[in-house]
Amino acid sequence: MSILGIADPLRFIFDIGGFFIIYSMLSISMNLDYGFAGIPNLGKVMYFAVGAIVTGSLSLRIISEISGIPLGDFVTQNISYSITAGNWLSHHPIEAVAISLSLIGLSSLISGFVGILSSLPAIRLKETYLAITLLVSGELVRVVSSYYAPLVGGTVGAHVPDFFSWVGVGRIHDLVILAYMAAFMVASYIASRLLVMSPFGRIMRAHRDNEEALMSLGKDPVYVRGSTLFVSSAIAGAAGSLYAIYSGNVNAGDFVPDKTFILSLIIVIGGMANVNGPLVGSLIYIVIDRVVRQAKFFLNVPFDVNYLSIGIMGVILLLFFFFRPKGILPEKPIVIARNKKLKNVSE
Amino acid sequence: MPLANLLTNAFTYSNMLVLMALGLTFSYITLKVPNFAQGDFIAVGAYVAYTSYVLWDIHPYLTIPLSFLVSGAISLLMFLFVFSPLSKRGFKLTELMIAYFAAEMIIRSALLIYTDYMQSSLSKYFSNILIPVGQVEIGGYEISSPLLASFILLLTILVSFLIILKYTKLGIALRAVIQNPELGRVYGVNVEKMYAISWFLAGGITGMTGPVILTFFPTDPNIGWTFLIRIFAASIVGGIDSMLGAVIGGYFVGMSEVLGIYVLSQPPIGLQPVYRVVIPFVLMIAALLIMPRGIASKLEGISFRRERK
Repeated sequence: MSILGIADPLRFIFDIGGFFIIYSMLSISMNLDYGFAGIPNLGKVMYFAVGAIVTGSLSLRIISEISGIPLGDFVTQNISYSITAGNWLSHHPIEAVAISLSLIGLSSLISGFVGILSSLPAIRLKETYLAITLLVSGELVRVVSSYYAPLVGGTVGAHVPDFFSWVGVGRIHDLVILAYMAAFMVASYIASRLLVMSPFGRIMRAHRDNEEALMSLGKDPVYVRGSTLFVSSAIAGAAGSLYAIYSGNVNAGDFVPDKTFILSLIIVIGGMANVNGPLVGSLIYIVIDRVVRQAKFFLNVPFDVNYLSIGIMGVILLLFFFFRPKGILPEKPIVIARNKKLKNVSE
Repeated sequence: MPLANLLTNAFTYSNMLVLMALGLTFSYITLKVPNFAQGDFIAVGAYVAYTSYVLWDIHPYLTIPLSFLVSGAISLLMFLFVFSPLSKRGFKLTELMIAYFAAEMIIRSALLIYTDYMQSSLSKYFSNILIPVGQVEIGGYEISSPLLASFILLLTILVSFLIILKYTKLGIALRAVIQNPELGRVYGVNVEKMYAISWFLAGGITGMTGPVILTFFPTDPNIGWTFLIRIFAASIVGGIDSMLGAVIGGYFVGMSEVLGIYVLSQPPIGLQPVYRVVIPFVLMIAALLIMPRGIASKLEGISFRRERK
């Protein structure tokens, strides 16, 4: 059975779901930085990379420590060991969940601290220079970690074992992974919503709109940038870790600046500084991207269709800038007090 | 002669960086936003040269003027149809940077499709290409052609710019717009036209380096990103809003990178040469923290005092 050249439609939908979850977590993180706090974070892919690299580099090593099966040389043995580890995990479900949870936690914590670290240049730098510094830092992380083999296997990449091999194989297995990832996405969505509605969310928007006014009210912009970047980078780091677990393979060379651009595209499409914007934007992006990739089975063109996808995304962004700069869901004033409380106040 | 080779490499590389940084300066002066597509003009220039080399067997250095025109034209189109309208609509710096990013992706996507198409239809390599041009003999010395070409190119550009900027009305208007667009407008300078000219020059000068890069460095459509870090580093170390800064920064970053990685890869440290990209990055961060307006800003004060005497 195949529909539109898709051999397994259900698998295709699961795949869209998986990438939707990862991209919406990343764009929630981008929206906190850029949409709400006004930090031009053009190095967003760096935090994603840090999360994936931490998971890719530690998963097999931790399993080796706990299971007692020797790993040998990480760079050459990680492919075969990931199968061994998968077998071991299939008999130890509790360990599998515990290890994956702690890996995600650790990745997001380390990524969060990288976020704080990268807010330090922001103490002195203004918009343009800050954006360049972050962009270049992201490139540096990519280049250095893709050459330094002991970290995540260098240019070949490192494998991450299947943490859900204990569920079995087939649809149930995919569904459980998807549900596991969706839990993290829902958690980050709720966290971003609560953060934006809290008094700190007001400070973030004030930081974006007028830094001098914020300072005149006794708030420290450096503190605002540091804490915003900590939260947003922790979300991006968790997304990176989930990506490593979901795809089963981390290649440091994949974390190109294009990914950051895609995230800005998503929040421009969805609507900047709107909590639901990233979800709408991610869904539209993933669907367009998958459709273009699927088109290569119908179009008989003498080039790789994926290259066309890059250009189409650029054109879509410029079209949005020209014709709908506020996105599909424009920013709305956030009503914090519930109706009941409002009534109390008016009484 | 390892030392001669090293110096040849260092000088060719630095000459190219100076030209690329000059290009970035010219696009920076208009909207005060660094253009991410700057690196892609190198690839455009290189592929103009490579296409004429493959199809008509033309020496890459003969296509330098054509590379200048093609990448200049692309840059001009970007300015007229994307950035000028966007900045008039009141787009802020970060939004403009994202738009630059979008334009960069469109150019890169077009290049990737073009090279993929040519590769399959001509069955010749269009990726990871390098045209060896060998050496020229001048006065008994063997000099590598890319070094000679890069020196001639750099000198031609610098001398013609000095003449244009110093003695022609166009040059004076350009300098006025760089220093203070509002005052320039008051004096009747067509600021919009000057901006368009500087975008054309920005694309052209960077694109010109493409044919030389093609004979010196393995080229593929993604080469823009390989050089972008270095261009930013060179411009920021020298001073992004100054042409003298581009010259100083290009030499400083280029020399430190090539000579620095040579020293670091020697026995006591033994670093692998692939980490050379870290050097421009460290220089850039240091410059941003110590003197964000670059080396040229320190020199401006000196020349200012001299003029007043």
